[in-house]
Amino acid sequence: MVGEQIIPFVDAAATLGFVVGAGIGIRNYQDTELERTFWASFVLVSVTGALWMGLVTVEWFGISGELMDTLSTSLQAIVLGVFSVGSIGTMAVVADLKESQAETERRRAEAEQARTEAERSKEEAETAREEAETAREEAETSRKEAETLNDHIETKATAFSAVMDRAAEGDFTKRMDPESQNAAMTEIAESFNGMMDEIEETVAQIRSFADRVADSSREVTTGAEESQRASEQVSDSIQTISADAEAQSEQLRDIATEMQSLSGTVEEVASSADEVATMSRQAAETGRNGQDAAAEAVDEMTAIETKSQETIDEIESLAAEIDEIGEIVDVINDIAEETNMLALNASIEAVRAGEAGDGFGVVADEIKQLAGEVADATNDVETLITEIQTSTETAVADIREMGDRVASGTETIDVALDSLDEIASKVEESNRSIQEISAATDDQATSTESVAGMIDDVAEKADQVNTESENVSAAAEEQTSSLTQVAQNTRSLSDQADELQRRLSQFSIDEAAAGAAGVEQGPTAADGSGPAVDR
Amino acid sequence: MTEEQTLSTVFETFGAQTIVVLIIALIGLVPVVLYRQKTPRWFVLAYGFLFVAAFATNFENVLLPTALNLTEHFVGNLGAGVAFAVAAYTYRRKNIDTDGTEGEA
Repeated sequence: MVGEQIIPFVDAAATLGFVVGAGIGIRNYQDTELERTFWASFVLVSVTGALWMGLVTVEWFGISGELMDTLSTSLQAIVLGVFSVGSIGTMAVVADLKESQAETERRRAEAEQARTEAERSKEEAETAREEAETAREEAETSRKEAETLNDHIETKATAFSAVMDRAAEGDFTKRMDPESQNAAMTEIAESFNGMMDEIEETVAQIRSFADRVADSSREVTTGAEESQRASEQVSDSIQTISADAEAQSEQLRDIATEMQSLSGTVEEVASSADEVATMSRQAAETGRNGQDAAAEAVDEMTAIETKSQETIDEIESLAAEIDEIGEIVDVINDIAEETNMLALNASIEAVRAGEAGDGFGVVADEIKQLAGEVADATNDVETLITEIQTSTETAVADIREMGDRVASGTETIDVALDSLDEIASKVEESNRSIQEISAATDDQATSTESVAGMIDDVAEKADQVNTESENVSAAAEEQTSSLTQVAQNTRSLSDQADELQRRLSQFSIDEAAAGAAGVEQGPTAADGSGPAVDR
Repeated sequence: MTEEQTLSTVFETFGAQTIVVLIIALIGLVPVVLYRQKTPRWFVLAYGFLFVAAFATNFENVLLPTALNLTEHFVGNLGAGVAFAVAAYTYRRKNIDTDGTEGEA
């Protein structure tokens, strides 16, 4: 079995593991203090384990025996016992020791911190005591200084009162001396001086402003009077505009009436154009019908021409046959003459024959008579044939003439047909034009109505303009009245500005200093209790 | 059967020394179980492998000789060797090289 064959290698690997564990355990033993006992036990167990596994491995290579078994089992027992009791137990003890050490360390740190806190509190108490002593000494010094300061303050208050009296009388050029042993008095003097500087500057600004107000009031008065005049002109102009707008409105109403009349006329024209368009369509239809009739006439004329040609051919054929009949009649006539000659000869012979020939003579007379009748009949026939030939020639000539006329009529009809085509085309063009005229007339009627409506709107707008012009005219009149009032007010404002200038002139200020942007402190007295100073 | 005869039969089956090993292993379980919370787990595991090896050594003559023999060597012996090396190394990494105070327990 493969597993059993590699068991020696497995045991050798286990031996190596124990050896490695022993090596690392030795290093851990060297690098630790508290756990040294544990690592000594661990190294012992690892070395014992390595020996045990070494013996087991060696047994697989044939080195065995009772002694080897006893050693192996004993080493295994040592490993188990020492590791469980020695190593694991020691590790637990070490863990307890570590916890105890950590707790001790923590308590020691707390005690150290408490000691530090106590020392700091002691130092703070000492410092507080020293500060209290210093404060007491400072209080004594302050009391003495306060007495001196009180006298100084009374002197300064007297000087400050004088300056304030001058300021109350309108003299803003006086200042308090800020030099003082007391900071509050210095602050009061500086604040008062700053306030006086600001008042002085403000009075100067008010004077300047009053001057500008007076100038502006005069300009405004002038402007208001000009505006009043302009407003009156505007009012007149607006009244004129109102009158023009009213006239314009009247004219627009007339135009609207005319446009409505024009709209009616255009509608009538549109109606007439519609009727003309209808008639044009009918004419075009009639032209197309005429074209059809002419075409049928041409067809009929062509048929007549063909038929007349056939008739001419038949008549000419008939004439040829009549000629043949005439020839036959000539033959019959010749035969009748010959028969008459024979009958004459027969009569002569009958006469010669005598009585025997009487009967023959009678027959010959009869034949002669018949021949004569035949000759007469043939003459009649020839006469008739001649008449027929004459009639036939006349008929042929008439038919030819009729054919010529039919051809001429056909050409005339063709010309008429072309004319009808042209007429129909023109009529259709006229029809389209008339339709366009009709549509344009309808559009024109619509536009005319729209224009009439717009003119009505414009007339209404003109009425509104007229009304607004009247309102504006009234407003302009009110504005004129207001401007008159404004002019009066501005004159009053100008008077008040003059009064303001007069009152401001009662205040005394340093114009040059007040004109500057900043407040400059004037010269002061040499000592802190000196009199007031001028700017 | 007398008591002497019974012990004789047991020793013949298991062997006197191996029984001693098994008894020591069982006794050694007591501190391991008691201090398992305070002991790094690789050390507890190492003892577990040693116990497996002792158990398999004793019982391979009674039942499943091949399987228990393989268990003894592959699990018990090899596991114990490896666990010893790993236990020492991990303890050093966590508590000595980093100079920390936090243990695995």
